[in-house]
Amino acid sequence: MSAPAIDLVDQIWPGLMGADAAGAYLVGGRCASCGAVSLGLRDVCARCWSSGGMEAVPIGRTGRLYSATLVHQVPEGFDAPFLAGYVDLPEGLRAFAHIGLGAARPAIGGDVVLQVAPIRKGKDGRMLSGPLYVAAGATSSGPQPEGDAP
Amino acid sequence: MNLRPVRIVGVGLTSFDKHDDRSVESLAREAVIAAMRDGGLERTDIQAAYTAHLYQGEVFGQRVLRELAFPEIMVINVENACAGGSTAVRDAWLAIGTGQCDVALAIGAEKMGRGLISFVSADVELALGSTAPAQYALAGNRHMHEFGTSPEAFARIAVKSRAHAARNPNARFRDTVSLEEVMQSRPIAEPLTLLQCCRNGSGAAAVVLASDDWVRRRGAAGVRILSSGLASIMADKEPRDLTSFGATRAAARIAYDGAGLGPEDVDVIELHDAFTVGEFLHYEGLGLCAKGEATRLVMDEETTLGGRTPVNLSGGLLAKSHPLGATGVAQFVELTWQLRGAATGRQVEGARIALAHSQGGTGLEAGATCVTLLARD
Repeated sequence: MSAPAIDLVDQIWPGLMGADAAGAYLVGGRCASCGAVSLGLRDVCARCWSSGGMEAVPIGRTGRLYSATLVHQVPEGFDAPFLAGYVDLPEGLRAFAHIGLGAARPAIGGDVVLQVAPIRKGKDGRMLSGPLYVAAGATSSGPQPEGDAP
Repeated sequence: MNLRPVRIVGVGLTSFDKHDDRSVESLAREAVIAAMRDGGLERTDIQAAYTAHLYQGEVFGQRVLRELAFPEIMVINVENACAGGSTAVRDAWLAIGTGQCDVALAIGAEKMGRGLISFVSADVELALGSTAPAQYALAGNRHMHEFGTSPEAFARIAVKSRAHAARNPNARFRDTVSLEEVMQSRPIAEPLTLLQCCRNGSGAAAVVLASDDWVRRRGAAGVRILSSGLASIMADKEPRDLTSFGATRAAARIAYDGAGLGPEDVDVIELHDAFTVGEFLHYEGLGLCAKGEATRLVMDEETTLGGRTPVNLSGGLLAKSHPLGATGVAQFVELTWQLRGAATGRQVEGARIALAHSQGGTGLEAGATCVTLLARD
């Protein structure tokens, strides 16, 4: 399996994701003061209230699907339908993300692996990338709405 | 907290509809005038006004009231997402209960556009395409996963809401619908279909609250507000149990404890059914049944008129539509009618204790939930 092309330039949300030799990850923020990890870099640590800075750490390379819904009525810029859900990360956090469809669709409670995929069109028409969790072991590298089964 | 007794002495409601040809100020004024006339009040009686809305701009309450020539009063504009209306009523109750004033208005109004609500604050989940129905659908799917709940259990709530609305001349969507029609309507966010999602609407509601002393001096009457809880769960992105609305449970506990009552004492409920899944989960959150058991309530029609604890006899948000700021206040209008015995066609006979519940926010928990208990004498 070849490594997925990871476009980290046009992210839906600045600083949401990163990539290294091991693949895609979500950017976590580790508080320099207390070590607590948050989703993303925050200006203040929710646990100790320190504003002494956060170190970017990779999180959420894998996870477990908490719940998912096939969204048919979608906001502007998205293709319908898409599967979205909450993924519980090994770091003790829960992330909202897009979820693979077809062969890449995990069951609720199932193990998932993070990919980066085109998720929505930006205002200038360019595709923006975001997190897509697919079933662990699936070979798909993107959403396959036509192959979806309930 | 020792509060002096407070009563609702006047209620007013506009129709909820598109109202393309009317301003939101005009709708709010209609509700205020109706509530004032209902209670036989003079404008000089009013000392304060709490005005709930989300998207209607600056000093909304003042814009509504200045054209009604209210004298010098205190105006407080309240924003608490879809729980704003209930929060306004609660704040008015607290102001009177603590002796800051004797008589106050609580007003809710909204002029809405079409389609999904466009939240204005930046949020990564919204940027990734999360919508309000998707949030509830995620909770519903998790409930299905954990408890074997069927999509039909959610859909039946929409059937019930329309059956109630058929009896309520104030409801907007009064045609009954079958389970098949609900299940086969357009999918929005699975398992939610179109008929399981409230529509946008424009409209207004108002109530006048007064201290018990003031009511007795006037020889007036009114239903009593017994207690009210307001709660938000502020934990950011922790893995929470989405099948259990923590804010609903917290607000309900405050309200039940404050009144010395429990869910078994409640005769009639108006609750926040923006989506059928929400109503279903709020049955559990309000303690009408144990966790995981709301299917039984639905199947046994315990929340239908004639059942043990009828819910949303007005038709709820599902059949009335949802003018955000007005919704919570409108619940108090319906429940006041129920406790007066004046809810013609949909009256819960002998109703003594009523519960109002509303929930708002851009996610499921980090918003606000308000639960208030009311009683007739």
